[in-house]
Amino acid sequence: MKRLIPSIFALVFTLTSTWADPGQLFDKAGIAYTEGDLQLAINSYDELLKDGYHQAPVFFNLGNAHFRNGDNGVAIYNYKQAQRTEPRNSKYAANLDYALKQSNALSSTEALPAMLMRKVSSREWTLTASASWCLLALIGIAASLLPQFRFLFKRIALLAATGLVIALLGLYSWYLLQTKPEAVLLTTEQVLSAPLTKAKVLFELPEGSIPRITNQQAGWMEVDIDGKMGWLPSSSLGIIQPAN
Amino acid sequence: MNKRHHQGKPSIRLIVLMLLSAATWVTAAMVEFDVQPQVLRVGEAGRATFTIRGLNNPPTPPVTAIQGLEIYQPQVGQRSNINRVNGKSIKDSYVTYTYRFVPQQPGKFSFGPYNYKTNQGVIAIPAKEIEVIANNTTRKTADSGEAQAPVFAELMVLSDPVYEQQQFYLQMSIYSRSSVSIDRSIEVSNMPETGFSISRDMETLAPGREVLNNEVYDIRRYRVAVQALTAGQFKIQPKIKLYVVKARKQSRRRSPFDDPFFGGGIFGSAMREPLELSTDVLELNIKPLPEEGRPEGFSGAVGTFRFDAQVTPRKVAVGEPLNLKMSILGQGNIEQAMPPPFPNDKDFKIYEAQRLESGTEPGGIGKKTYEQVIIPMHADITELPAVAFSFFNPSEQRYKTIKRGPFPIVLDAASEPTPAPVIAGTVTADLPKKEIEVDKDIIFLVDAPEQWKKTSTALYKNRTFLATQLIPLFILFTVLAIKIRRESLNGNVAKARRSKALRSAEQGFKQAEKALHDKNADAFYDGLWMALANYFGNRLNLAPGEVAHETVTNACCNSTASKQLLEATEQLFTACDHHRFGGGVTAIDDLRQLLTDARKTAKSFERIKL
Repeated sequence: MKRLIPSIFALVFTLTSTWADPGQLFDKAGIAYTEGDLQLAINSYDELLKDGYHQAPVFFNLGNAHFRNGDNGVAIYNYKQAQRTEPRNSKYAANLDYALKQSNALSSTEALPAMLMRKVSSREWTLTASASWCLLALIGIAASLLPQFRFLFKRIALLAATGLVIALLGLYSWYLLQTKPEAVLLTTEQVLSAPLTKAKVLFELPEGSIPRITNQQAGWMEVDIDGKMGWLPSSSLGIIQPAN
Repeated sequence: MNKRHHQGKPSIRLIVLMLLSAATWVTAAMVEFDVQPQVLRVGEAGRATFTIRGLNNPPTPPVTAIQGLEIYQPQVGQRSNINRVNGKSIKDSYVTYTYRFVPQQPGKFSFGPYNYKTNQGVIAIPAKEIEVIANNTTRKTADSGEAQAPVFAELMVLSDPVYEQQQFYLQMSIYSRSSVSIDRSIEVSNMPETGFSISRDMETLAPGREVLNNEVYDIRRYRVAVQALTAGQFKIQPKIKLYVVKARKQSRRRSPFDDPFFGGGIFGSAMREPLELSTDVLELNIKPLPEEGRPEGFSGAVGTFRFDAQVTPRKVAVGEPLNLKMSILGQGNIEQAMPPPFPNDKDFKIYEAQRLESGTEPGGIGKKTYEQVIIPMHADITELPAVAFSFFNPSEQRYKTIKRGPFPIVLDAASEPTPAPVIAGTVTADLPKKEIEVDKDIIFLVDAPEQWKKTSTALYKNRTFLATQLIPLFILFTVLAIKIRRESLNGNVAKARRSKALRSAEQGFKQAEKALHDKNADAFYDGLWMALANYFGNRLNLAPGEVAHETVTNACCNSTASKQLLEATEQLFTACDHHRFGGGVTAIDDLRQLLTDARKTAKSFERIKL
């Protein structure tokens, strides 16, 4: 008995240390995917997300597993999460486009400036803004200590100020996405005129469509897809929350 | 020979054209005969009109006398219109002979039949009957005994049965006694808001007359196109607002305002009174489209349609595009009519069909044209498979499928695969992307992230991060404050000396301290004096030789310095003077006390505003 207890502890420690390693869990999910065990792959990626590893490769691979499993809506949701987390990764965009076409899904169009701004993540914009801000302060200090170089500092300050303004605009574009967040329709649904199950059917949205959320009521969300508005049950939508 | 031959051709053409035009002219001779109204009262005027086309100077139609009708001499009119048919201008010329007649007695009368003799032959004109009723006929029906309302409306559906998605017409008829005059404008409300798509345009049909309960009624007919959106039972009961035109009652007294100038007389003699009508409830049973026999490619088209498909070119190389042009034409819900799916996607690369044109022609005939690019992928293909368009025909109550093709094609084996043409639309079969790892259709799994990080709050929401953003600002302000202070000290010597007074005294205090340690009284007093001279010299901005007890006391006379402090200062100066001029305290403890007092005094002066 005395020998057994330490053995159990050792086993538990080994197991917990094995499962707690996100790299190993990620590899395990990848193997399951290639071997066709999609459910195990999905469970493993989900576990990583539950553990707080909201990183783009996890979302992307989970999207692939769902796509293979025939859940196009959930796949598009995960591809979109991956794309929003790492906006310039062409692989994420390619799979998202493919899945959208396969589902004949609709997606809210973004204005070009906002689309360009969102090619840079909110974290990157924050760091750019912070760096520009520090640079401006440094230039201020240097200019006060070395007034003879003020002409040079002025130009650098102008550049830093421009960088700061652009970075703040970039952050604002992400802020707008928080005020009217995107959501992915997980199953094909009929959009209703009011948040009531007996309300008039306005139009049908295919699975995987990406509307914007404009309003929320208990159990219902008002969606807007390129000017067409209506209500959908909250359970049918997955809200995109770009990871930081 | 050739020349003669060429000269002969136009002359033959000319003759043929002349013959054709003559034949057309002959066959175009036509007479239309109409009598309106077909029901009228005794004494009410009617018109019998002959419209003659295709004849120059046509003879007068032979209308014989009819007993009971007084027929007047005909009025002759000639008209010429230019109509556009299928984009071509066609001239339409005709001559009309209008006989005005007034019935003298009730009964049924017949105009014709007539044989209209022309220089090209005899045209038979069928008879037209009219009914004349007496002025004093009863208004009660024989069977019900109820009087018919002077104005009423009827609603009827012109299709039976009606299926969901079917387009049909609702016809509304407004009956008004011939004695009641109704304004042209009508307003229709209370039409169903759900379940139907109702056209905004209400079409006005030809008016008519009917005898109801021995009463002559004028009938105005309107129709509106409706599309049933869902199956089910519906009740329709529109409300109609119209205006009855009545003659204004003439007052016995004639006022100056009865003059036509003030709106009386001709223009002011009639008034419009609104009248609201409601039809009987029309119960509509909209049937669902039958499941039985529904073709596979049925896209929801309901109506009567024609379908045609053409493929061009018929001879291409493998990998080159073929155009499949499909057109759908007909009456019905043309918007729901989609082109049929292409049946084979193994041997062909298929692009989504693009809509070229869409619209509705007069008469409610819709047309849609699609073009689809299809690329044959190997040389064994000999034909494009047939395409089939399916729709539901509500009048026949069954699904119909129109098949076009197969279309034979000739393929040349291409030496190299031709790149796909760039066209608008969605490619249904994507080519694999070479630059990235491919998992048949989607990109394969990606590698693990370089560093595993757990989700944290957004950087711009992190308080610590936001707090660090204040550091550069703090440093900047500090530097600026130092700079401003320096600049202000540079311009004010007294302030600058004041600020360094205590520091300058410290040097003397240290020397005195060292002397105390060395037990050297002379050095101690030198140091103490240096401290006092430096401190008060800087503090009061005095020249080195000006520092003395009196100077300090005078400078402090208007200050907040206490009496004790001034006395302590005097003692310090006195002690230094005593030692310089005749010795003084030399005991170590006393000197230490003197030094402590000197320090305290200097610090006390720091807090005093001089």
